[in-house]
Amino acid sequence: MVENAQSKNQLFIDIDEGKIPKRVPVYTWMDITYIMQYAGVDLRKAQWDVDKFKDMIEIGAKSFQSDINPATFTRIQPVYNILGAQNFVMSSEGQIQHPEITGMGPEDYDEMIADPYKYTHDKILPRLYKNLDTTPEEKAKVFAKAFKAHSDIFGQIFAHHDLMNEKYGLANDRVGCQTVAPFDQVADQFRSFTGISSDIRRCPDKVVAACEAVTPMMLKAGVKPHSSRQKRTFIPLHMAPYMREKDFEKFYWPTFKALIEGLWENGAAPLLFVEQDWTRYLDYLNELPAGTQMMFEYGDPKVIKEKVGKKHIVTGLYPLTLLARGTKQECIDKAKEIVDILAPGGNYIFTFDKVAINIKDANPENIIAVNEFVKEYGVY
Amino acid sequence: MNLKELTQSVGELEEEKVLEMLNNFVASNPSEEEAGKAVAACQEGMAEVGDLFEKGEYFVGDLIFAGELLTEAINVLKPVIGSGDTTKVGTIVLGTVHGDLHDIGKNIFKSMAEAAGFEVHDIGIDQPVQAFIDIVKEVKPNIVGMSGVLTLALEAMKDTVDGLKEAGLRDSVKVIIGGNPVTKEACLHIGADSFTTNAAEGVKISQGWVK
Amino acid sequence: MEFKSEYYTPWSEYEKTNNVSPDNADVIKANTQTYEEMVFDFTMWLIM
Repeated sequence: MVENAQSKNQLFIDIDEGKIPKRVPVYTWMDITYIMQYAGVDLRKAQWDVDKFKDMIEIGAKSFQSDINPATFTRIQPVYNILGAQNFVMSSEGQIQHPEITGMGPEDYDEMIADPYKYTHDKILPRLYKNLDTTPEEKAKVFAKAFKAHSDIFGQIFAHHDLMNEKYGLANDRVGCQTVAPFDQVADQFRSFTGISSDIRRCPDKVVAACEAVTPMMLKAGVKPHSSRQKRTFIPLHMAPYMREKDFEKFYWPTFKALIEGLWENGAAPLLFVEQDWTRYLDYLNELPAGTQMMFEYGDPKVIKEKVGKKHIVTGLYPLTLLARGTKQECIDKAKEIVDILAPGGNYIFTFDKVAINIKDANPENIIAVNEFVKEYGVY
Repeated sequence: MNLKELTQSVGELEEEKVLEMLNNFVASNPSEEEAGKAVAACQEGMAEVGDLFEKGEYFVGDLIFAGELLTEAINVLKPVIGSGDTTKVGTIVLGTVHGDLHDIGKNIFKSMAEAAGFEVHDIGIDQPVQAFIDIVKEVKPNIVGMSGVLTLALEAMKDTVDGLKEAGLRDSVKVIIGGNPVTKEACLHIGADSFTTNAAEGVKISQGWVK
Repeated sequence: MEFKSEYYTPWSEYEKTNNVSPDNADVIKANTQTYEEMVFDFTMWLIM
């Protein structure tokens, strides 16, 4: 069978419509830094060089046997630099990471709850981005520069993605926008992991109110004019595995569920990255509206397929670490094992358990071998 | 003060109760010896927190809070503890290896290790090999703890152990690695003495080494 | 679950305060409100 963009798109459309596709779709995600290293360019330089991003998108499109271009841009160094970012910082090896930082003090709950978007502009942004911590005039100028840079750079990225999809016959990008679970938003970028862990004990009512207050904002972020089952809203989940179930039930779940239901009601379809081990919470996940895509990092594939795989689209669970050190045969054997469990009955897209961000995370030859194998083996 | 109740309250992470008990205790003008017992009771409470974590009743968020609580408790007790440094059981050098900026796991391990009586020298995140070598030369620890969350941290840990070997320091210390990506295989590859993804277990391993 | 903020101008409010003629509302909306939304999206990108 000769495959082209249309037949590859059809694989995903079938999944989204609850039908069994011709074969298991293969969807590899890589941070652009992985592709830069694969291409042999210096991360510390290449992340500034927007012109070269296009070459990286092309390398992503043609190199890895994924049905969707793996090249994913999340962290854009020129924009962070203009802003003086404290929350996204390049490490000594050139990887941009998120150090723990507090954008909001515990005394600010009431102000944040009253108007989260205003509070974000007034307080959070100047704390996370030091070049915004200045006079209103200078702040407006820095914001304008960064906004323009962001808009231009992503404009180029999206346009080139489309071009490369056409050139190499790939399926369309599956992510249209991103949002975050309300509790994760309050925790990660506002109060920090450490701060929130104390707050849920010291001022639980405020934490609940804060999650409720940010929910409309998070919903708005996740619904775009082009949102659909094929252009999904990506939501990386974070804090739940680090909480007790009774805390999860009280602080995390109610607004998260409301967000997911709100997305579906507004024509958006979520794609969750279920980070860490959510085994304790599978029954909760199964309560979400049908057809939610969930990329699992850890857990027993059989249990996950059984508990959420009938109602939802399951992906992930293939250990990226094996691709780093395993032989080609070991990697393929693992793919067979995972596909045998997760593919029957459909509702399955082959992905790894996490996004490759550094070339040490996975041997590219193993990625290619495994993806080729799944395309042949995963025929229904 | 009822020391058992103090231990139990720390174990249950009852912040208000712990602080109230300790404030009353300090107001009663205790002797240094009594204060030492209070510190020990708090440390026992932290050990209970570790046990509950291992049993799956507590999670990382609870450990972080436990660390905060212990710091607060010791701060309350400081005026009455005195200067006599009697409880030091060993010295640990701790850091997140180069290429990795994560520090939550490291900080949990740090507070639990301090609670267990270790002197901890935390050199921070994204630390080059040389920084580990320099601090090991300076403070001559029993143990070197390396932390990391990213998969690439494993290679950086190996670099660091190799660096300690080349500097002739490897045999004078035990090396423990901690963080999301560490496994038995990774531990062998890196040349560490032990590994853990669980800060409480890490402290137990460390205690075993300095007995 | 409607999003509201002192710093966000929804189209209905913009229409009122900027004398938008009903005949041209569609084309004006497409060429003005889009930028309000882009600022919102950018802001959210900064805190995710």
